[in-house]
Amino acid sequence: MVEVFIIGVIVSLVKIAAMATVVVGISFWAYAAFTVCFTLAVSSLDRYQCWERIEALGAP
Amino acid sequence: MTTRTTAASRGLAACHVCYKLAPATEHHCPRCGSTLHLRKHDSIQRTLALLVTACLLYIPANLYPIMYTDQLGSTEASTILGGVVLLINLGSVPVAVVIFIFSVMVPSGKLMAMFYLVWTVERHSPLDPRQRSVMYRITEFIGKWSMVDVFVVSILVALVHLGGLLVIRPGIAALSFAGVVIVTMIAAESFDSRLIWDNMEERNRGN
Repeated sequence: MVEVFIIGVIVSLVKIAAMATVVVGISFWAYAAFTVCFTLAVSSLDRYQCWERIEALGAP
Repeated sequence: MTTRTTAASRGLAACHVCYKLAPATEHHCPRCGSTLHLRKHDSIQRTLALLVTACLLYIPANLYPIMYTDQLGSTEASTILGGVVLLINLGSVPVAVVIFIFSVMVPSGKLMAMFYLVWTVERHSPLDPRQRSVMYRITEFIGKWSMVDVFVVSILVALVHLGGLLVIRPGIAALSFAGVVIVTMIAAESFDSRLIWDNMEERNRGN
């Protein structure tokens, strides 16, 4: 959902920019970077391998 | 045609949580302990019920305003489509296209695709199962993107509170549109895509 939220943020910034002056803060760029990293992390996680390792540990 | 064997015909069920194949006679997954089912329970009925709910919610979502803009005492209501038109008038066509695709095309296309899939599975349709699987995967993937408009409204409502000067309030449509998105996502989740292939297997066995 984070990647959906960042698109929502960009669209709302465009909408607010029509009514008032908007200066994008450092937090926006940090959040954008977080979105990129988090999306890549989620997509590179192999669920099968995860469960196989859990099984190998002998967890219930 | 090559003979294909499914796990179900060998009495094996895949766990919904950890994907482990286990004998269908066992009630719980030996690895993660969740309940084992050969296929999702009452998949077609549940999906259809959720789709009808989504259709009903879709009506107020499009007819009622999604947000109200109070500017210097005058209130302006905007619907989903009205917002798209407003964005085009403001000159931000790319954003208008994004909102149009995610809030208009995706939800309606998703509803139609899911109805079509349920209908073809119920009718034991001979249509290409591979094509329908791709269709299902696309509808499952694009579902969450419709939330963009809901996020936009919630961010605007939270940010724009400038006393009597400019206030943005959410409308009924915001709630019902969020309902449409969530309910269709659950519908896509409760639909068992393996039913598409089960039809195929039945037909092969019949020949």
